[in-house]
Amino acid sequence: MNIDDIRTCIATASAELSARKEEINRLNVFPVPDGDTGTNMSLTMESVAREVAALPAGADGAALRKAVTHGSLMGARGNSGVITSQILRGLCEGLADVTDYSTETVAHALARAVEVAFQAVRKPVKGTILTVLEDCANVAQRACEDGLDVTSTLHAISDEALASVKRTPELLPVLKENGVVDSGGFGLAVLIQSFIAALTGEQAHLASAEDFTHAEAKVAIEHVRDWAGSDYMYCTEFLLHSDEVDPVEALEFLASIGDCELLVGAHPDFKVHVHTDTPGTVLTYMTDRGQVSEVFIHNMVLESEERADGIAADEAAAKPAERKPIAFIAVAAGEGMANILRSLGVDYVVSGGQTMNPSTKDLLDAIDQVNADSVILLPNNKNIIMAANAAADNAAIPCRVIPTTSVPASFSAMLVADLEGDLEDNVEAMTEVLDEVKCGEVTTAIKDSKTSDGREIRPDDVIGIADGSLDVVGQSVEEVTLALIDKLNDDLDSLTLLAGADLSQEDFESLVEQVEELHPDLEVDAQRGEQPLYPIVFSIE
Amino acid sequence: MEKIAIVTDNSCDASDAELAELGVECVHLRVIRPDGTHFPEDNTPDNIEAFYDYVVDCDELPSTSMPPLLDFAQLYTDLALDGYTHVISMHISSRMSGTVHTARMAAESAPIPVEVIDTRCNTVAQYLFVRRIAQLRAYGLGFDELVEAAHDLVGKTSVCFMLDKLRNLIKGGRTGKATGLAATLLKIKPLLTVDPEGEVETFGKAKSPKRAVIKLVERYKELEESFGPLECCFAHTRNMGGVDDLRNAMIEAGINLLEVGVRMVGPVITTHVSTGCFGFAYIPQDERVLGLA
Repeated sequence: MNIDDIRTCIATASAELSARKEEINRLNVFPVPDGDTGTNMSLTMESVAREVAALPAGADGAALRKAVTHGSLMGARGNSGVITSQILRGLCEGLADVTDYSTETVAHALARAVEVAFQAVRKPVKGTILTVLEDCANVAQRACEDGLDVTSTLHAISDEALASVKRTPELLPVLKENGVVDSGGFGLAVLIQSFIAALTGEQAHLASAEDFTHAEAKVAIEHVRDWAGSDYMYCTEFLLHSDEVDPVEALEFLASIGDCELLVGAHPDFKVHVHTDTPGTVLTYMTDRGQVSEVFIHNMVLESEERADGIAADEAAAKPAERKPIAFIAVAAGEGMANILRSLGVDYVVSGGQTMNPSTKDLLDAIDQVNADSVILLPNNKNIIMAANAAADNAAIPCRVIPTTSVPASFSAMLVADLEGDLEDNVEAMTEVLDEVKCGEVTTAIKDSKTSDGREIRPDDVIGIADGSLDVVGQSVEEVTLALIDKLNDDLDSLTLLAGADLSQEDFESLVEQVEELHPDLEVDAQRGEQPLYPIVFSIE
Repeated sequence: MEKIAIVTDNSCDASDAELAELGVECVHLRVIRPDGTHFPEDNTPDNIEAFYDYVVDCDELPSTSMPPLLDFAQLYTDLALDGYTHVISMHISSRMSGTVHTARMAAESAPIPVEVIDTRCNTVAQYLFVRRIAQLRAYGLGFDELVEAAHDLVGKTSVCFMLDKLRNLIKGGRTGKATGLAATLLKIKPLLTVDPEGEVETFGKAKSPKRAVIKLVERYKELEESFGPLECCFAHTRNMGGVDDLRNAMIEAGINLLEVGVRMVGPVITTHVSTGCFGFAYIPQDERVLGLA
């Protein structure tokens, strides 16, 4: 075995991990169920593989170890990524000055990996990646004592990695509750197994996550949000280049403002990871002591919700539902809007709107999901109509677009839809009603502009858009909404008002009260749409 | 010489006196308060108004029970004793009540031939149905012809109305084919009808009473296209304003309205639809009895 062989094995293991990152993501409930363990570990390993691949041919063991240590530290993402980088660093340290690969060297390297990895984590928890690593190290130690040869030892380690992963639910109750095994542990097992398989040239049995998860228990994932470790909102991580930082003191600081804190590496290069509500404080502390780069801050609460939603949606989709003659797909941002659409018979809501237009592919995916013989698409924004038309043209089943330019317009269209009816009849009825619906949108200007009749608009002015034309400018949501209703109300009789996520219920109620007072003939339906950026969206007909 | 009796039940929402005027006998479904006491069974305007007062915000809906077998058996026997040779017994849709079934059981042991008709409708439409058969009897049709005429009317007479409050419909679980309504988050005014099978069905949803009127007018035009000229009877549960708007809109839309009148919907149905409803009942015109009161 030579250095080049090991480089190939690293590339193989990295590729295997990347290929299976989604499988690993889905297991992620600890310490925060944000579903990114697989992604983080594979990003870390990809960085290693890149650095190793960049080595010149014939590079020696020291160069390889340096590449692995440096690449993993630079690329480390998330808790699991940082711990992975420390395991690799430990392995490299344990293999320094080694010329022949014996059972003893393997055991020694793993023992060192355990030491380094445990140092990185201030409060190690049983049933995680650390336990899997420790179990593997123990098997290697026993192999030494039993006098096993290297190949047998490697096989024993590979088997133990999987066996240890299977035991994690017994050690960590949150895993058992969710019917999963530990995601980081599983990621490490994938890494170990694929590396050893490549090294020994034998295809090991690579376990899949489905082997030991219980599909029926997965829905319980929401419960985990109460988990004590997920109290903080932002996962904050970055590289710190500092000659003067005191790692012990810095870790104590991190522990004082968050959890899951990690500070690894050695002067001058460190990787910092912490879950906190005040990422700014962390960055200030660190920039006082050195240079900060590769900063990643992500909102774990949102990610966790997205993950739970994603799993719920996948599970709903996985159920062999009865094939419908016709399905309705609408685009909307805001859970309130989505719920109203569903209550009107929309089968699938694609998340999107003014600021995030779904792609044609997103819409085609939705068409695939609904299990229907034909589909009606409601784009609900003029910038999405083209993508919807393209999706309709490329769909495998008959698909038609109702050119709705707002969500409330699609409410009106859904009210006339025949949920069990014929595609063309529905298109006709739904398109016809669009002529009768007028739509108003209220938002805040972000740059200098002009209204349709030439009045100046300054940033932070509240603006009102009447059927796509920027007609009203004012200083408050209330003022602009009332002006917009006046403008659009041409002896009309029903108004559907939707409050955005940023409009308080109190302000909304006061607005509704005024509208009802000023327009006693209007039938007002006030709903929370929870749409982003637009405090008020309404339709009037 | 044939002497033909006509029987219906009180879900046709006419008072016993009105029915007597048409020469129609009535058996009574019971409408029972949660405490077990009964509402009056005769659909006089006062009784109906009192029921509206009760049902609009009651905590628990009243329940309905079909007429007992004995009522039918007694009535059919009495009619035979009175010298009737035949009975046509026309009742509330079998999809809504077991009344038809009970009538059929009683008919089997009746001393004279009794033809039980499942009208597949209810309320004011059932009234128009029964009234038509009574008119045709007066016109001089014999028993077999009346039976044929009755069968022919099934599926052609019904009601279309706007539901103002979903509360009772959902509470009572009697949504039939209108089940999707329970989920709707928007404030809407569902438009309901009784389909030819005799089940409640949504034929549209409107955002306001004004929109509902427009849809009801459209519906009326479509029905005239299918069935030819209709007789129309307006119906409501304490919403005369809605009836007036609807009538005006129909006239404005150029409909040649042959109006039988305006009637209040009675307790059997109002339990489920509550107050505020308005709409129309219809029946195809019949030249033989056109213009007869």
